Amino acid sequence: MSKINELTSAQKALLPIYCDRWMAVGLSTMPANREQAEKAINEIYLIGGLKPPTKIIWTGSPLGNALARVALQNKNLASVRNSVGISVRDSVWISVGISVRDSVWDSVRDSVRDSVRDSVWDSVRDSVRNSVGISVGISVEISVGNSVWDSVYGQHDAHWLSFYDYFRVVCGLVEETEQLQGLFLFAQSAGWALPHEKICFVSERPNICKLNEANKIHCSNGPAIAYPDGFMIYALNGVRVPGNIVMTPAEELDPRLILSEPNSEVRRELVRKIGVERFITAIDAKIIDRYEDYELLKFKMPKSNTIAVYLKMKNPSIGVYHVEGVFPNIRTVQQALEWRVKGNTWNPKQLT
Amino acid sequence: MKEVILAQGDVYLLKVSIPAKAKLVTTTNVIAKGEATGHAHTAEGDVEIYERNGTMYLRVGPIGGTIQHQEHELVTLTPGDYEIGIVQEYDYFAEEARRVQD
Repeated sequence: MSKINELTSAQKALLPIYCDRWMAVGLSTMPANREQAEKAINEIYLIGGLKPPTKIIWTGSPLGNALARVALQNKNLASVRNSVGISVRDSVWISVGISVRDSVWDSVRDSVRDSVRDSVWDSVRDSVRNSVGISVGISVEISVGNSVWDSVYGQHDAHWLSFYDYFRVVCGLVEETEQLQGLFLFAQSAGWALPHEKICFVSERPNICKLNEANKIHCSNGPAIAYPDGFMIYALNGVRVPGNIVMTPAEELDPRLILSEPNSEVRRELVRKIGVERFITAIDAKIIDRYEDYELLKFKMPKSNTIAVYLKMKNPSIGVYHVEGVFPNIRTVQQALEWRVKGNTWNPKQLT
Repeated sequence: MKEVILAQGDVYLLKVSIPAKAKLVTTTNVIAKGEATGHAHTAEGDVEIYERNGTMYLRVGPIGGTIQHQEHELVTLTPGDYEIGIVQEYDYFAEEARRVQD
């Protein structure tokens, strides 16, 4: 087949359709199609040059996969993720790469893959992966947190599969993408897989997956992501937060929580939910200096005689307020800005 | 005193010369990653990352580069050497300065 130098108008018109189709795969909350998923798993193993697993164990979530593997650690399980996932993907990447001109590759990547990646991969998959890693690390032992790296991400691989599915169906690169057939089918059938010799753990899809208008995981009155076995993730605007922050009405949250929250992203979401003005009123802060969108706040720490100085600032990219403690003897916004960057001169030509 | 020439969230860049003994980092283009979001500041384009004594540096070649992040608008990098900094904040409970955690 000759090299594809450009997309036709008809092919370009299908770009958003593939984007929507694979976005739906990535965000699906339907129960797994177990028969189809097991067929896909067998195919994935065969394509990877392996015998299909003799046993497929279904679990309720990616965390369930990790915990099931822990329960069977004495079986000396050998991960085959490289054979069934990475090597196949790398091989197809080369085959398709030599079949299309760079500009075509870039166009499909930008239109289909990156759009699906932003929500499915960067927001949902990252959150699930990090939560599994943390949950497994706490509940058993840190070493088995590797389950997240040993996984085939199924529906959460939607972004890169969408890219190759478009080339396969729309541009006719059938032979070049043949090795992905099992992964295409599996992504449309179930959640994650944790493949090993002879045994493969396969998870259900989430039954809740909620995003905000920016396609970040978000739910203001319940978990943003939940799986049938009870594994759930609470999140506000893409930031994973403790469940009580989501479930407690804003007016019942103590504004002083903002002072004790060590993570700046979680703190920002607390400020957003509670309201920066209510926070300032609750801590009885005085504004001792102002500059552009910055305000320097001074107040007495709750249940203490310590005088604290905080810088209130606005995130220029998303327009949300945020507060950070600065050294107690600081009295101007300029001093605060320079203290934050360890005494260097604050004069950014770009600030985002 | 060095000058902060650009900032993206809690990451800032200072114009410096990269120490001769700094080592090239070839395993990642991530220069900082958030724990609560998984979001990362990544260096893209004609860019090399170096490290020396826990400090990271960027060397931007003639084509230039960018720093990207899922939430912040990108910043563009002109050719030259830069030191990467992470902003600090004061923890009034521990009574000490610390790197901002996100």
